[in-house]
Amino acid sequence: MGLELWNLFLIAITYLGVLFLIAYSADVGWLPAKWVDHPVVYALSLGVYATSWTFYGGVGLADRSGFAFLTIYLGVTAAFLLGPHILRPILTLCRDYQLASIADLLAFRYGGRATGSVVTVFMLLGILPYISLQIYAVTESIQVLTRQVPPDLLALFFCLVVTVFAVLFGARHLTPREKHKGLVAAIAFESAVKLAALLLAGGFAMTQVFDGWHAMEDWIRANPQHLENLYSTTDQSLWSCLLLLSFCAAFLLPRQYHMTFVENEKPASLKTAYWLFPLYLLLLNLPIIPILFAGKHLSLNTTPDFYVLGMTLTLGSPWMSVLVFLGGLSAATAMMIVTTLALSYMCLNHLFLPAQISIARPERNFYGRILWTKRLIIAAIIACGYLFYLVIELNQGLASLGLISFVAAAQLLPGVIGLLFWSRGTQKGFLAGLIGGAVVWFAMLIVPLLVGSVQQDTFQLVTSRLGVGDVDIWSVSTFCSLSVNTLLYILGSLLSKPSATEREASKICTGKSTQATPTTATLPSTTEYISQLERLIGTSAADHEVGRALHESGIDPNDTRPASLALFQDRLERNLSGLLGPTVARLAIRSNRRLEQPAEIALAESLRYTEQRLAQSREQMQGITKELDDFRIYLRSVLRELPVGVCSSSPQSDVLIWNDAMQQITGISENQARQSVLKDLPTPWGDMLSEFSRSDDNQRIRQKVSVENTEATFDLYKADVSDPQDTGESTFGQVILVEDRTSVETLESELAHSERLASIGRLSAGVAHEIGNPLTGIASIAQNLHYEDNNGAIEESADDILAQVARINGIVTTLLAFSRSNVGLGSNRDIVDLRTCINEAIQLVRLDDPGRKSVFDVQLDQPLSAHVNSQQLVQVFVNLLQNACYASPPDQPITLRGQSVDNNISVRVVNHGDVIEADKLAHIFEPFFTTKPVGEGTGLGLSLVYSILTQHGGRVSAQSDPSSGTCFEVVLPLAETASVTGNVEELNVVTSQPTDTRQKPGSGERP
Amino acid sequence: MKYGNDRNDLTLLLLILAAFLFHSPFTRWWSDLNPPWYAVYVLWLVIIVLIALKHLRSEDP
Repeated sequence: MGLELWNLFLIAITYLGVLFLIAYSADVGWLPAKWVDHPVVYALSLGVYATSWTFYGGVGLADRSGFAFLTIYLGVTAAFLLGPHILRPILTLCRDYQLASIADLLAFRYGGRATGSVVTVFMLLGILPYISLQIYAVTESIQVLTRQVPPDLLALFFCLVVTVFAVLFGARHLTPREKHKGLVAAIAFESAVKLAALLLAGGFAMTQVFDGWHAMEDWIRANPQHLENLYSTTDQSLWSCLLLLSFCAAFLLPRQYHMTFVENEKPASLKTAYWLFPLYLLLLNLPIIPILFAGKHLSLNTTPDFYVLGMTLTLGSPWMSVLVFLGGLSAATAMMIVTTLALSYMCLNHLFLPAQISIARPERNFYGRILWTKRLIIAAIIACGYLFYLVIELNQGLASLGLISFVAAAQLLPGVIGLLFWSRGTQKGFLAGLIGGAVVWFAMLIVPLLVGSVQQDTFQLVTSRLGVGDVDIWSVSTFCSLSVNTLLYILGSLLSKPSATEREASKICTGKSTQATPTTATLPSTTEYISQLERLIGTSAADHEVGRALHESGIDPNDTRPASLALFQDRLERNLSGLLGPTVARLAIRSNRRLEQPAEIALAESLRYTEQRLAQSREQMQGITKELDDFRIYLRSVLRELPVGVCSSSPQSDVLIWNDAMQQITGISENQARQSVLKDLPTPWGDMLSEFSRSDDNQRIRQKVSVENTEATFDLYKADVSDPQDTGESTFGQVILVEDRTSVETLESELAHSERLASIGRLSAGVAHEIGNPLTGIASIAQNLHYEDNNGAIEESADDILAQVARINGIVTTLLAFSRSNVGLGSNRDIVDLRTCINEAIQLVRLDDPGRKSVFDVQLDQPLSAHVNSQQLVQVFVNLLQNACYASPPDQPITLRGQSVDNNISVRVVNHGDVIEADKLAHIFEPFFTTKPVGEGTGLGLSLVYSILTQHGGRVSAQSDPSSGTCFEVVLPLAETASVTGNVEELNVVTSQPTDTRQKPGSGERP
Repeated sequence: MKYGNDRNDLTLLLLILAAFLFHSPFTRWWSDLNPPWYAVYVLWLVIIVLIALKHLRSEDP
């Protein structure tokens, strides 16, 4: 029984319509991106490898060559097993340099246009048999199903339909990159349909033809010769040959390169494909043997290639026949669409556009011209496939056409292996090898196909004379062509010198260099790029491309900084690569270099790129390289997570490193910072960092900055970074550290206030005592006033009262001033004579019990002017004197010596108490360290002294030994306003007994 | 710490195993035993499972 042709036509058109709907849905986002981008979809899309050769021809090949038919897929498994070493580096190159075809890849490595053109022409010739195979398979399948209509007419109609759908899928509009999400989704769907159809056909064979698994096993046991035939080929040369050919085809056929590398949305998907794609191929081939046995069992009248259709027709299952037909249609259309797309891209970018660039004739409607050229190329390729189908004589089954293309694709293997692993290969060597291999391929495989009568006889004559008469044609032709190819490639490469471009490309391809080539701008402004491009692609297209690149790179059109121009040029070149191919894009942009830049211009971009390449190349690293990269990552993590802000800049002030702490401090993201120079960072950071970077200072302490209306304090440090590759004095830029001191300063202020309050607490008893004395005097004088009748005595008593009140007022005022909290250490400074501070401190200390019992021997130069906060300096001396009073024996004076030395003021406070041991002396200025018994000291006094003096630009030191006592020396910068020459003036000697001392005016003491 | 050599060694071992099963005198030996028709698929599946285990357990991209 047969099917009606118009039924098949409607079913086929409907199926292709559904495919287009799936592709369109993925393109416009109706299908969720997480589905379309899923690794399983990517792995299924690689199923374009399985064409109608697999679908129909697999059974035929199994019949003729036994299990050798599986080597077509075992070789692919081997290629994906070696994926991390072969596929992954190619994917990285493809993504980094927009190498959207196998011709792009080889042209990138082997020096440009000639390579791309030769590879494109050879691939066109090599793939034509494969396209004609698809036409033949679909036409024959329709013939088998309908048994009507001349096959040539069917083939022509099929070609027209596929041309329309190929244009719809891949050339409906121009895409900025050669990626088609819709195409991937549609091809993945087709792969699923192929798998489902073949699995169902296998199940059909087992259940409907054999009545189940056991019946089939019984049939096999009854007919053991079929199984023996299958296993008889495992040691033949064909087995090895097909393994090698399919290994090459897995990634060298244009459609496989396109789906594996160009349409790869996420590199991580390749990791899933390493095992999922071979698993898909295994499942796809599982039904082949049951279908073959079913065909043998039914003694079908069709060729083994079409057993799958004949079986369903014989058993009268039209729906199964239609399903199988759809599976075959899927396999053929998917192959033809993807192949013609890949080849059209290669033809456009390596044959047509270079020719157009050469004549430099700008097009008014450049985009339209490209689009229509692409569509015409697709139609022309399918037309050539149809012509090839018409002239060939197919008498060795479907597989023979596929294998001719496989041998053609294998001619690229020496070049690609050299690309990945041999840096000495040259363009001359590659072209010599490819052309030599192509000639052998053409002579041994194409000529016999075109002139069928000479095929077998000539071949057998040649092989028998060579002494390999029992070897199949595929093994001989593969061996001969690849041997000639490899030999010429190696000889040609060794006999020629690689160009500079080739040397650079070879380093990149073999992973010996991570340097990006597009790091320097070639033209001085963005408008120059428009002028450069409009000569080649027309004014409107040049305007559009430059505008798009400016928008995508976020560069201002008037920005002429080399780093910005380099970023812009990189983006422009990437966009044009998607449109014109990398060779033409590079030619269009760089053919008129007018700007010479030093290598370090785009240091930021170069470093970023190097890091990206290192991250991507980790899988290939071994030994010391891997350990060095681990160390690099460790240091990067340390730098990133350092709690201090780190910013490094290039000699041109481009920001290179901007760590996490810097992002927290400034609120500027790493990406934003790294696309900028220091002075262009947002306020106030740009001004602060660029000014500090230019200044001669290596550090800035307590830099005040207003951040969002709040005053913040930072310590800044910087250092020059020397160039690791330069022994001279040139620098690699600077590193700037930013430490946020705002919270520390607040804590220090609170600490100072707490210490002050603690001092007041300790002094309050003394205050009560000191105020009690003058109050007693006032009370006595007031009582005596009752008995006085002499006005003079009354006035004298009133004066005494006023003097005592003044003394009380002085004490209270001093205490109030002392207790007032300051906003921060080192703030609110003024020119102050330190003698005032010291006197005030002595008065305060004397309010305490130990202070009253102490004797102070004070000798101070006059004056000791310093730019300080007087209250904080009083605090310093109070703390030092209190400690001295506590430590000093009552009979030993506490000596204060003040003098100016070399623009500094030195005040030494010496007591002759117990010596402080050296190990304690080393920690004496640390917070909470005290030599006093537990409960008698907070350990904060000297720490505060240290902080206050440090913030005033001064210092404090301590020495202790039995002979000279314990000495604390305070050093402060001398204020420049001092005008009075210093004379040594003995101020006073104050004893603990008020009745025995002479106090200078203001002391308020009476005998 | 994992080293790249470990992963490369595993790839090499898998390649040797695959070559041993499908392209060596051992191939002739097991095919001469006239095993069931699906035996070759089982061997192929073993290789695929080992590849999958290698990549599923690896943290590399």
